[in-house]
This record gives sequence, C-alpha cells and structure tokens, in this order.
Amino acid sequence: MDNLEQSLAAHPFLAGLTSQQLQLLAECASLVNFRANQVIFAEGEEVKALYLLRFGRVAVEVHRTRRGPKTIYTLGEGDFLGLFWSGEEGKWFFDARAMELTRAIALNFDCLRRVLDNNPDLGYELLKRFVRMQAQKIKILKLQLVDFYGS
Amino acid sequence: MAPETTLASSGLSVCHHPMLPRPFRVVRHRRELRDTFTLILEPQDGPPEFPFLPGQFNMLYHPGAGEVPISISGDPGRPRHLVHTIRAVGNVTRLLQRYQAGDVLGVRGPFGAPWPVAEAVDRDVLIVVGGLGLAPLRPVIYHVLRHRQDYGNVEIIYGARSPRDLLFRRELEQWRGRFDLRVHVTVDSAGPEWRGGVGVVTNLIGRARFDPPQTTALVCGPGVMMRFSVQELRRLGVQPRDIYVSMERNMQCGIGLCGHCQLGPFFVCKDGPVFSFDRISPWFELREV
Repeated sequence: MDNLEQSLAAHPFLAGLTSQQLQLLAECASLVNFRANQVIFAEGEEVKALYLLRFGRVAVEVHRTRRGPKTIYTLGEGDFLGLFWSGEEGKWFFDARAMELTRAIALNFDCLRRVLDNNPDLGYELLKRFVRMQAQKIKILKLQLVDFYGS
Repeated sequence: MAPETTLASSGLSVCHHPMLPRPFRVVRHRRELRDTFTLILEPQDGPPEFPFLPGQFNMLYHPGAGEVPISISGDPGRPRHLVHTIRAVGNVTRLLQRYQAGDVLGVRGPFGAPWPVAEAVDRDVLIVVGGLGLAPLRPVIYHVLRHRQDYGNVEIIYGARSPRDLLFRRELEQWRGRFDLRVHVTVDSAGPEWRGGVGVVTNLIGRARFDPPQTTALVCGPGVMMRFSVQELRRLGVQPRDIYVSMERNMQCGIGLCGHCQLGPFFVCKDGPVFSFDRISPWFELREV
C-alpha cells in the first residue's frame, strides 16, 4: 500500500473499504495543500474535485454583495468537502476557503464518476456514505436556523 | 446609576431564614455582552463567606420588583465573593443591570442540587454548553481545574450565536491555552475574521476525546440544544445516568414549597436544577410540561 492509499484508508469517510476499492479510488486521488486564506473553490465554478480533509480547517462561505463573505459552516480533519454542488450543471453552490494550512486528498470529479460508474458496488457504498453525511449536514444546518443558543 | 429603591433603603435586616434575603453589596459590575452582565457581591453583614456548590443558584431580590433565580457563576474555591452572571431579559434583571459598586441587593440561597463533581472523579469530563449556559458551569470548570489530577480528559464544547455573543471570552482563551484541557468553540454565524468553528455543538461532541463508558457529561443551555446534545451523547455511548442536564423552570420559593417549578414528581428548585438524564428523561422530552 503506497502513501496515497494509506492516506485514503486513514480517512474516516473511506473507513472499511477494501484494499481493491482503495486502489480504484487512488487512481483519481492526489494529495493537495492549501495555504491559510487560499480559496479552494468559488461559487459558480465547475466542480473539478471533491476533497477529503486530512488536516486544517475550511470555511464554507456565501459571498454577500457589499457585506463580504459569511461563513455557513466550517469543516476540519476527517470531514468531506464537496457536499454542495448542483447536480447536472456540476457547479459549486458556495465558496470554500482554507482558514489555516489545510491538507487534503483531492478526488478528481470526472475520474471518480467514471470509476464509480464502472464499479457499481463501490459507487453504491460511497453513495450511501455521501447521503448519510449530507443528511447529517442538513440536520446541523437546520439546527443553526432555530436559534440553538437563544433562551 | 443605582436604582432608587435598594435593599439598604428598604429597611430589611439580616436573617438566615431561607425565605428572607440577606443584604449583599455590589463590589463590581462588569459588562459581559450587550445584554449580559456580572455582579460581584460580598455580604454586607453576617458570615464573610458564602459557601456554595457548583450548579447551585440564588434568588436575587430587588425590593419592590421581586426576585429572580440566578445561577452562581463564580469560583467555589473563593467563597468571599459571590458572582452572578445575568442576562437582562425581564423586569427584575433589567433593574439589576443598573446596580453599580456600593449598591445593595437581597440574596437568598444557595439553593438546588449541584453538578456531580464528586461523582465525576477519575472519569473523563465532557462539558457541553450553549449561550449563557456557560455561566452555571463555570464553577465546575474552576473546581475541575483546581483538582485537575482527580479527573481524566476534560473537554469543553461551547456554542454561541456569533463571536460577539461568546461569554467569558478571555477565560475561554486562557483555558484553551492550557495543556490539560481542550476547549472547542463554535458559533452559528460568523464573518471571515472569525478563526473558530461555525456549526452547532452537537457536531463537535464526536470530535472530543473521551471514553464514553468512563465519561460524565454535563450539559447546560437552551432546551433544544440540550435535547440534541443528549441524543448525540447517547448515540456515542454515554450512559443516561452519566449525562447531567440543568433544567429551567419558574423557580420562586427555592425550597420546594410553592410548587411553581414542579416538573413531574420533582421540584426543580429543590431536586434540581441539575438532574441526571436517567432520572429526568420521562419529563425531559415531554412537550406538555
């Protein structure tokens, strides 16, 4: 198992995948670093990669005209960056910015789709994890709407 | 500007009957947030110290206006100063907000069941707080830090609406700088200048370091925050008997006589406000009460 596969195996989102499945994903993976305040992607840009965060912190933001960015939520080590993109258009909904030095595994989007289409068992497994994570994220965002800390 | 009617001018005298207030002088008024302030008090006469247990509360009395139950937010190891952190939301608390050094108010207490700092010895301690809930748990943090060798991992997870709503920010930063304590702070909403997390406290519970079967979790905040935090703690394997919550009800007498704070078979002022979840769970999630 090379360094990339080890990194994939160590990420919580991929926990429990077989060595063969990790090898398939490794075809689409690369290790990337982002400096503090570096924009990882911006709203409206084409989705080129999804990110498994290994270290650091990322702010998912929405830009407001004349008022600047507002952070919707933050992600950190062990999280998956790339839940919110518009399906057919393949464009990002939000901005993502590294708040500090951030290390991640980038999964090339086109490559990933091709691998998952050709390996439906892996595709279904990742889809289940993706849906579970998305449900969890939506729950958190809904809780943020109810004035969680108001008396 | 001091209120026109204070205890000093009301003619009340010192008495240790639980239904009669003792006069306390304001040593210092400290603004915490836009609507939240801290009063540091000392007894005007009687015993110079005011021993209390973390989690207990007092009834603070403004003559002519009434009483409010307020948790003690100070250090139980320093009983010479009584510290209350108060949000100005009603008639009495808005009057208390006007108190300045030298003014005198009435204090009855301490009342209520404390946080289980003795039961948590040798265990991991997970403190989950939201908003003003940090105030009643601050005495626990003081206690645990003073007896740090008695506890395992100590983790504080604190959530607020925004960075400007963070209570005790300087102390949070001091605690965060310690090697024997981990502090996680998150807010609902923030601009790009905020360097901390954005999200809800429930999302951070899974990131804290604790051994669920050996953990005592202390949860304090608004009802919805406690409900979802308890769900997450249980999902991660913390036993209901090891989860403690602080219930808020209409506490008036403080000694279980008047019945205003009744919750099922309990009087929150006397049997609580701190309850283990296994004890309170039938009533904790009951919408009708």
